[in-house]
Amino acid sequence: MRNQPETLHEYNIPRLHWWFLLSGFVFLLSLVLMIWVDYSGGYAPWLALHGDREWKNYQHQFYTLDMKRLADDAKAAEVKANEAGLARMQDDLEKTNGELSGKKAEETKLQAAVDQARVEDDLITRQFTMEKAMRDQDRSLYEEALERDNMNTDVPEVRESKNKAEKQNDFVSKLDLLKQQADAKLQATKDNQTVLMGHEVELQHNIKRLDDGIKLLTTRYKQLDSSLVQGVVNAPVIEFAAGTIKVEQIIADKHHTDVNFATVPRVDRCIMCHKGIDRKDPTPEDRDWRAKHKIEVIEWSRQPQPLRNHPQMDLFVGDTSPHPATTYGCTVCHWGWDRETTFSRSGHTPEAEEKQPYILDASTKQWVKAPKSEDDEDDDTKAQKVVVSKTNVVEMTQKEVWQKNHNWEEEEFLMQPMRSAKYVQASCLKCHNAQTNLKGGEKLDHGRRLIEQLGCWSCHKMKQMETYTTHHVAAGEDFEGLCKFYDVNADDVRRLNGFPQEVSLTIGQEVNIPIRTLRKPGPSLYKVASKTNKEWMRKWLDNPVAFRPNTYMPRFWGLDNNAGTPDRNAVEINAIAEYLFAVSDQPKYPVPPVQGDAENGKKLVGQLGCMGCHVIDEKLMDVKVPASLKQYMDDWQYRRLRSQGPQLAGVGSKAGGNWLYAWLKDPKQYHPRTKMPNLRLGDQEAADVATYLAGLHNEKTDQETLPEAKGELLDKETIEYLQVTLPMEEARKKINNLDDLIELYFVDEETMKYYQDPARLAREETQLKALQKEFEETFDDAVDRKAKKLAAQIEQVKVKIQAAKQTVAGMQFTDKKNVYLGSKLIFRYGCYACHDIHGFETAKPIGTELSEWGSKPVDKLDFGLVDIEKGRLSWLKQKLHAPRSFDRGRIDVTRMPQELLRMGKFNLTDEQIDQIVTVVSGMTDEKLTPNEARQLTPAEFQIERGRWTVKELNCIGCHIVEAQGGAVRATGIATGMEPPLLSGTPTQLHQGQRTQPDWLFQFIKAPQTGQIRPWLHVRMPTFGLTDGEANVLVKYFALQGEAQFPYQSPKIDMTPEHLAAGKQLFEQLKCALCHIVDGKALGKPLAEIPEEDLPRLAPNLSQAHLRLQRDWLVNKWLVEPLAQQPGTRMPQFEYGTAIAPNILGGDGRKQIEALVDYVLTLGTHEQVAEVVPAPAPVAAPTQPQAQP
Amino acid sequence: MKLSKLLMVVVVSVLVTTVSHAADSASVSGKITFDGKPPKQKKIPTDADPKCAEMHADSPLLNEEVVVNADGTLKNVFVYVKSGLEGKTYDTPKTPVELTQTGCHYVPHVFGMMVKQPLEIINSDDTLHNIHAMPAKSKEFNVGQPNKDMKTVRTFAEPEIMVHFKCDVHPWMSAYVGVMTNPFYSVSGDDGAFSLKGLPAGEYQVAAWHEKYGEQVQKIKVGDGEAKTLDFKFSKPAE
Repeated sequence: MRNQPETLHEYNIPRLHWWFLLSGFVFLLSLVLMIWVDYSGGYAPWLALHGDREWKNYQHQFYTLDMKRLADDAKAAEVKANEAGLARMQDDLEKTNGELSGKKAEETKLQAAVDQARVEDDLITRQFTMEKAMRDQDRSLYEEALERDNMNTDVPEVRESKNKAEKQNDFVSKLDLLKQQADAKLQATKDNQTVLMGHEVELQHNIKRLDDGIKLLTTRYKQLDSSLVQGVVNAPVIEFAAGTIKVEQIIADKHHTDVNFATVPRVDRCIMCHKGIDRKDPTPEDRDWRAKHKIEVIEWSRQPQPLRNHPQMDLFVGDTSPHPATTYGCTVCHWGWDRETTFSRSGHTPEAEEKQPYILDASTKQWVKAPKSEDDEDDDTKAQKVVVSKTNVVEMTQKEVWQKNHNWEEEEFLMQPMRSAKYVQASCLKCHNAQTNLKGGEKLDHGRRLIEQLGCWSCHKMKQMETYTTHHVAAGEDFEGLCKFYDVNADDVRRLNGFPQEVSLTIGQEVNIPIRTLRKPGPSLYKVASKTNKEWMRKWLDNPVAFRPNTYMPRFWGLDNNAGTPDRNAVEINAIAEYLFAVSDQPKYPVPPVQGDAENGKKLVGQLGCMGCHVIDEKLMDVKVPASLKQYMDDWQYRRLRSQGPQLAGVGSKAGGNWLYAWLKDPKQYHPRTKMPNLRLGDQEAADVATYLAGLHNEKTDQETLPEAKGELLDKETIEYLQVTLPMEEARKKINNLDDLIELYFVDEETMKYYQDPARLAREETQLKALQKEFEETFDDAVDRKAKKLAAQIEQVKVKIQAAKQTVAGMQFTDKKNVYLGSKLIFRYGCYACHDIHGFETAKPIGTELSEWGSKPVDKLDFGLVDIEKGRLSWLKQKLHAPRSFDRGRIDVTRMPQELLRMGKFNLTDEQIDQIVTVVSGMTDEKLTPNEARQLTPAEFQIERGRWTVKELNCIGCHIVEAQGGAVRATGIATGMEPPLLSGTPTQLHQGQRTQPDWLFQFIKAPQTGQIRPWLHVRMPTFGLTDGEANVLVKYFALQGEAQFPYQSPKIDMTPEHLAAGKQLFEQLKCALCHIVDGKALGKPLAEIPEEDLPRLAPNLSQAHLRLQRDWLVNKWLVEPLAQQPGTRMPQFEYGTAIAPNILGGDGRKQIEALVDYVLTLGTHEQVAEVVPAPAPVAAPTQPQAQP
Repeated sequence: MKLSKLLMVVVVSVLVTTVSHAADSASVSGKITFDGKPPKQKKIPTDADPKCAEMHADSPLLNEEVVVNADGTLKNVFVYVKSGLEGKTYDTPKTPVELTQTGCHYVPHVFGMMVKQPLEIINSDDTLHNIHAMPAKSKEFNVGQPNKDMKTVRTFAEPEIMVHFKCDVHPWMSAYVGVMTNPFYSVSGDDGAFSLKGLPAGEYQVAAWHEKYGEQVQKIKVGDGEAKTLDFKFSKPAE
C-alpha cells in the first residue's frame, strides 16, 4: 500500500460518509412516504391527506358492492338453474347414460338393425334398377315387333313379346313396393337411433349451458372475494401491473376539446369514480322473483353518488343507446375538465340552491342525505319526515355539503364547468339544434319555443335559432334544382347563405337549406293609429302586464334603473306614442254593414274555435302582481294560452268595433304577416263577434290616469339627445328647428335612402345632366329613356320630400319635439326589432349577439352591485328576472340616462327562465367537425319543417298532433263536434295514412271545399298558405306517419259480386243511419234535419273516394276505430259470421274489403245502381254503369 | 243543514238485532227517498230513427235521468260499499250481467257488476245500436250491433264508479254501471229500497250514487250477523 500524499480537502471524508448515510435514509424514507402517500391518498383519512385519491375509495366501494352483486347473481343463477331443472336433468342424464350402458346390446342391435336395413335396401334398390331396365328393353322390343308386323297384334311374335313385357312390368311393380318398404324400414331404424342418441345430446347441452353460467359467476366472485388476490394486485408499486383499483378513461376521439389552444380528443376519467354508471337496474320481474326467493338485488339507481347508474340509460351510456359511453364519453354533454381525477378540479357544479337535510354517516365520515320515511317516496311535495333524530340533521345546500365532503371550491378558470343536471339539456343544442321534439330534451324544446315566441332572437342574434340542414353539392346539381329538391323558397336559401341573385354552385360546396324562417314576433305598427288610441298606447307602454298579464311584450319603464324617474318615463312613453301615431298610416274602418249582437258573438267565440289560440279570462285581469300568477302560469294550459293569440279580455279598451270587424273579416289586410287566420266569417257573424269583443273592457285600464308629460322635461330630454351629435349651445338652439331631423320619418322606405345618403340626390342630378348632355350629342334613344326614368325618379323623390316637409311644417312645436324624441327612444329600445315601424325598416337590432354566450368568460359579465353568485348562469337568471338590476345603486352617480341598461323585463316564471337559461347556456363556441354534428336525413328535414309550420299555425290549439295539444278537441268530443286527432301515439291515427295527399292539400288550402261534416260549429280556418307551405304540411303528415308518399291510387275490386256484397253490408250495418250519402242522411236532405240531431251525424261518404286511403280503411279504421281516434263514435263491428254469415261466406276480411270498396265507389260513376234486397243469401250481381 | 239531516238519519236509524252468528252474514238495507217536488220525466223525441219512433208510437219514451217512484222514493240509485273491505278479495262471478237495448233504451238504466265479470250486451231491436262505453280507467269500447238479438260480451279490467254507456246512433240512450271489486252493491228499484247482504262484521262507508244528484256517503258499523238499516235522502240542489 503506497503512501499517498495527503490531499487537501475542505471536507472530512468520514463525516461525509455519515452524511451520505443520513441522506440515504432520508431519501429512502421520503421514497417510502411518497409511495405511501400516492398509494393511500384516498383511503387513509387518518393521514389527513384527504381528497387527492378519492377515486380509490369509490372504486373500493364499487368493488365491494359489485362483489355483493356477483354473490347475489350467482345465488340467483343457481336457484334459477335448479328451477329450470338442472338437478332433474343431471339425473336424467345419468339415468340415460346408465340405460345406454346397461343396454349396450340394444344399442349394438339398433346399429345392426340399421346396417342390415341398409344392406337390404341397397340390394333391393339394385335389383329394382336392373329389372326396370329389363322392362324398358322388353317394351321397346314389343314396339319394334309391332311395327315390323304392321301393327297387327295377332301375330305370335308380337303377342309373345307383349306378354313378356307385361310380365316384366308386374315384376318391377312388385319390386318397387318392396323397395319402398325397405326404404321405410331403414328410415325407421335410423329414427330410433336418433331418438335415443339425440335425447342424450340435448340433455348434455342444457346442463353445460347452466353449468357454465354458474361457473363464470363463481370464478369472478372468488377472484374478487379473495383478499389475497386483491391484496397482491393492489399492493403499492406493483398495482400498476394488474391492479383493479386504477386509473380508467374513455377516449372519445370523435369529440374534441381545446387544451391550451390545441384541439385534442376528450379523455374522460369520470368512470374512475362513477363506476356504476352503466349498470342496469333489475327488471320489475327480476326484483319480484328475487324478493320471492329472498335473494337480494342491488338497485344501482338507489346507490349514493358516485356509484349511481345513469338515469336515462335508454338514451345515453348504454351500448344500444344512441349515445354509447364508449364513443361519446361523458364530458361532451356534461362538460367539466375531462382529464381531471379530483372532485373539485373536475368542475362539479352544485345543483339546488334550496337546503336539504343531511346527516353524517359515521362509517365513511361523509354527509349523506337524511333518509326519508318510506311512504314519502311517491310524493315529493310532502314534508320530509326524517327518521333519524332531529338533532343529527343539518340543513345544507348541495354546495355546503360538497365543501364538507370534498373540500369543494369553485374552479373559476375552468371554461367548461360541469353543467348541473337542471341545465344539462343545454348540451344537446350543439349537435341537435336543427331538431325539435327531442326525446330527453323537453326543457330545451320549451326554451327554444319560448325564445321564438318572446322574440329574444329578434334583438339578439342567435345562430342556433336559424335552423337549417346542410347540403353538400354533388356533380350535376344546380341551385334551382336544389331548391326544388328540398321544396324551399330560393330567396330564403339566398338570404341564409348570403348568396347573390345569380348562384353558381361548385361540387362539394356546403349549402344551408333553411328549415324555417323566423318573423318579427310583434304586431305591425304601420297602421296602429287606425286600430287603437294614443291613451291606451301610453298605458300599454307604461306597463303591458297590467293590461294583459300573459303578454310577450316586455316592460321598459318602472324598472330598477328608471322606477325613480316617473316624470321622465311619462315623457318618454308619450314621445313614443306620439311618434307611432304621427307616422302611422290612417286607413278608415267604416261601421259594419249589419248591427252586431254581442250575445251571439259570445256564443260564436266559444263555438268557432277561437279558444284554440286565445283566451278570454277575467281572472288574468284581477291579478296585481305577476308572482301571484305563478300557479296559473306554470301549468300547461297557460303555456298554450300564451302561445299564439293574445288574451282577449279587455280588448275593447284597446280596439274599436269597426276595426275589429274589418280585422275579423280579413286579418291580412291590416297585417300581411299576421298569424291570425281567416275564419271566413259572414258579415253578421263578424259583426256579432266584433260587438262582443268591443264590449270587453278592462275597467282598470280605462280608469287609469298616467302622469302628464311635462313640457320642460320634454325639452330637457330632447336637448340631451341633440347633444349626442351637437355642442351644448347648438343643441339648445336646434330644439327650435327640428324639421330637418324628423322629415325622414314621413317618407317611404325608398325615399328614406336619400336621407341616409344625403349626397345621393345631388349625385343623381349631376348624372341626369350628364345623360341629357349625352343625348343632345348622340340622340341615342336608350340614353333618353334612361334620362327620363331618372328624371321621373328624382321628381318623385322631390315631391315626397316636399310633402314630408309640409307635413312637418304643419306640426305643433311640441309634436315635433315628441316625434324627434320618440324616434330616438325607439332607436334606443329597439322596438322595431319586433314591430314594423315606419322609418326603421333598415335599422339594426340593438341586442348583443348571443350565439356564443354559453362560452363567455365570467369576468366579461358585469355584475354591478348585485349580490349574487358570480357565475354565468346566475348572471343570466338575474338578467331575465330583473334585466336592469345591474344598474342598481349607480344611477345618477356614474351614468347618464342614455348609458343605462335598456333590455325590457319579460313577465316570466321561474320555470320559463330555467328553460331559456338552458337554451342560451347551450349556445357555445364549441366547433363541431362534420362527424360530430347531427345531419338530418331528407325525411327528417321535411318533418322538422312540418313541425315548425304546425307550431306557427298552432294546429295543436284544436287538433292533437304528435300526441300533443287538442284543447278545442277535448271540449268538443262530448258533443260530437270535435276537430279530429291528426297524429297521436305510434299506435293511433296518423293523418298521412288516413287521407290522400291531394285531398289534404286542397283542404288545407281551402277548407270550405272539403267539409265532410258541414254541421260543425268549430271552423277550420283558411291560413292563406302558399302551395309550398301547404305541401310542407302534406309531406310532414305523410312522412311523420310513415305513409306512402307520393300517393298511389289503390286497386279497388270492381267485380259486381264484390261490390254488391259491400252494398248489402252497407245496408245491413245501417251505415246511412249516421253517415251522409249523396247529401242526405236518414233519407232527408241535410238542411231538413233538426239542429239537435246534427251532432250525431257522421262524415259524408260520397267524398270518401277523394279523401280516404283504402289501406287505412281496410287495415286500421274498420278493424278498430277506437284505436285510431279515441272517443270516436264509429262503432267496431264484428265482421265475419257474427254479423253476416251469408255474405262472402262469413269471411270478415273479405267483408271489410267489400264494404270499403263499395264505399269508395259512392259518389263516383261506378256507383252500384240497384238496391240488392238485404236477406238474399247470395247477392245478385249488378252491372256497374259504363264509364263515360 | 244537509249534514245535520244526515246525522239525524243515522241517529234515528233503528237497530235490528239478529241471532245469526255465522260469519259474513251482516246486512245493511234501507230506502232512498226524494225530498221535494219530484221533477217530471220528459218525453224523448225518437223521430231520428224511424224504427224507434215506430216502437214508441203509443207509449212515448221517457227520460230516465231522475225517476221518482209514486211513494216518493228515488229509483236508479247505486248503493255500494265504498270502503272498509280493503285487503279482502272476492271471486269474480262467472255468470254474466245483462244489458239489453230494447225499444231504443237501455235496460237496466243503472246496474252494478264486478271487475272482469262478463257483461252480455243484447240488442233486442231491429235497428243498429252501438254500445259505447266510456270508462276512465278501463279500456274504452264501442261495438256496433246491426242485427236483432245480437249478443256481445265485454268486461272491465278496473273498478270504477260509474262507467257511462251511450249509443251514438241514438243520442238519448244512456246507462251507467258501477264496476266493483266486491259483491256488495245494490240499485234502488220501484220501491226505492236497497240491501247489501252477506257483509262481514266491520265498519264501512256506504255510498249512494245518483247520476244527477251525485254521491252521498255514510258510515256504519255492523257486527256479526247484524242487520242494520240505513236511509239516504236526495233532493234537488238549490240553484
